[in-house]
Amino acid sequence: MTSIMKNKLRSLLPYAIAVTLLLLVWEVLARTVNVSFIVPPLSEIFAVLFGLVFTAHFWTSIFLSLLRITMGFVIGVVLSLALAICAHFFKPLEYLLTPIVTVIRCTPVASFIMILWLLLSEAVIPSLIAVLIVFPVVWQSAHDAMHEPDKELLEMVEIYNFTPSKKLWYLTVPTMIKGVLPAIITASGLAWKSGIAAEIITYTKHSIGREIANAKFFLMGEELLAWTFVVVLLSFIVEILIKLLLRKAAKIWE
Amino acid sequence: MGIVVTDLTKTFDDKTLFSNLSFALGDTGLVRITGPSGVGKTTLLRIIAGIDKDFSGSVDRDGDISYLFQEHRLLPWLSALDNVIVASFNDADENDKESVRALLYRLGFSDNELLRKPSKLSGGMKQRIALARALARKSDILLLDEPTKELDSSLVSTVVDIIREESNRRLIIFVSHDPLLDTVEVDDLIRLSRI
Repeated sequence: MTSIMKNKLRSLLPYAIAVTLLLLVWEVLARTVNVSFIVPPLSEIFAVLFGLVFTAHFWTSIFLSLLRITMGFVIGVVLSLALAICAHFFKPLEYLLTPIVTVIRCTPVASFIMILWLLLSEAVIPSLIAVLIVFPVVWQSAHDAMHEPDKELLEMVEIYNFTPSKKLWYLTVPTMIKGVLPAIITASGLAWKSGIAAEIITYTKHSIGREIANAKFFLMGEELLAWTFVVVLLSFIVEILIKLLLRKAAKIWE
Repeated sequence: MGIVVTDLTKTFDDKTLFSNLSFALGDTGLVRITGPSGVGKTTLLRIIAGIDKDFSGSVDRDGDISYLFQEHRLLPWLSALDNVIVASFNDADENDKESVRALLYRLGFSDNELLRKPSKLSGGMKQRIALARALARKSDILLLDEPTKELDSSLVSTVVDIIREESNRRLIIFVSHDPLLDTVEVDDLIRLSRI
C-alpha cells in the first residue's frame, strides 16, 4: 500500500468511526422503541433495500427521477449562464432579472410546487423545480464573477484593443465559468433534494418521490428509510460525478 | 511626431512625482526612462499608455501602443502561443501565426512549450511570452516596463537585439533596473529625479 493511500485511509478513519457510532445509536434506539414503522432496525431496512434492488420498478423509479432532475439541473445551469451573459451586456435585463431572482430565492420550494401543480402536469414539476432552484444560485455567482473581473487582465485587454466579441470570449466567459463552478456543485445538491420533494408532494408516477410517499401512506417505516437511503446515496454519487466533471472542465481554464 | 508631452504634472497621495515635465519623441527610436525607485517611471509609462488619466498637462500620442506590464498578465486559460496570437491580431492569418512562431523560437521556446498554459510556465517563460505579445502586435509605440525581468543573462542579449531592430521601425520606450541594459545604446534618455 502506498503512503498516499495509507494517509487517505487514515484521514477517513474518524468519519468511519462516527458513522459506525451513529448506526449503533440507531440500532439501540430501534431495539428500545421496538416500533418498526417509527424506528425500524437496520437489518430490516437493508433487507427491504435488498429486496427492492431486484425489482424493475426500483430501477425505473431511479432512472426516471435522475432523468427528470438532471434535465432540470442542466436547463437551469445553461439558462442562468446565458441570461447572466446577456444581462452583463444589456443592463435593462439585469434590472428585470434581479427582483425575479430575489423572489425565487425567498419563495419556499413547497409554494412553487403548489403553484406549478395548479397549472401543469405532475410529470414536469420536478424538472421545473430543479430549474427554479438552480437558477438564482448559478445566476448570482455568474453575475458576481463577471462584475468583478481581474483588473489587471481587464487593463491588458483594453490596451491590446480587444474587440467586444473577443473580450467576451477570451475574458468574460472564462472568468464567469471559473467563478461559477463551486455554485454549480452546490446547486446540484439543492436541485436533487428539491426535485425529490416535488415528486413526493405531486406523487409523480414512476419516481423515487412516489415510492417515499407510498411508504409513508402505508406506514412502511423500513421502506421509507430504504428509499431515503437510496436518495442520500444517489445524491452523494451525483455530487462526486459533477465534481469530477467540473474538475476536468476547470483544467481547461487552469 | 510619436509622442508630445507638455507640462505634465502628476501627484500621488499628496506627493508630487513629476512637475511640468515636457518632452517630444519621434516616430522611431529607442528611449529609456531612468531614475531612482519610486520616482514615477512606471507611472509615466501608464500615463503615456492612457491607463492613468489622473494628471494635469497634456500627452499627445500618434498611433497604437503595445505594453509590456511589470506583471505578465497572461490569460490563464490560453496556451502560451494563443496568448500572443489572440492579443496581437484580431483575425490572424497563417503568415501572422508563422511570424509569431518565429519570434517565439527566437526567444528560446520549443513547440512543446508553446502549447503549455501559463500555470505550467516558469516566471522567465511568462515574461518572454508577455514580451512576445507586445512585440508581435503591429503597434506604432512599444512601452516596455522591465523587459528583461526574470530573464537569464543568456537571453538578455537576444531581447536587446530584437528591441534594437524593432526601434528602427517604431518608437520603443523602456524602463529597466537591469544593469545588463546600462550599456545599451539609446536614442533618447528621460531622466526622472525626486522633487
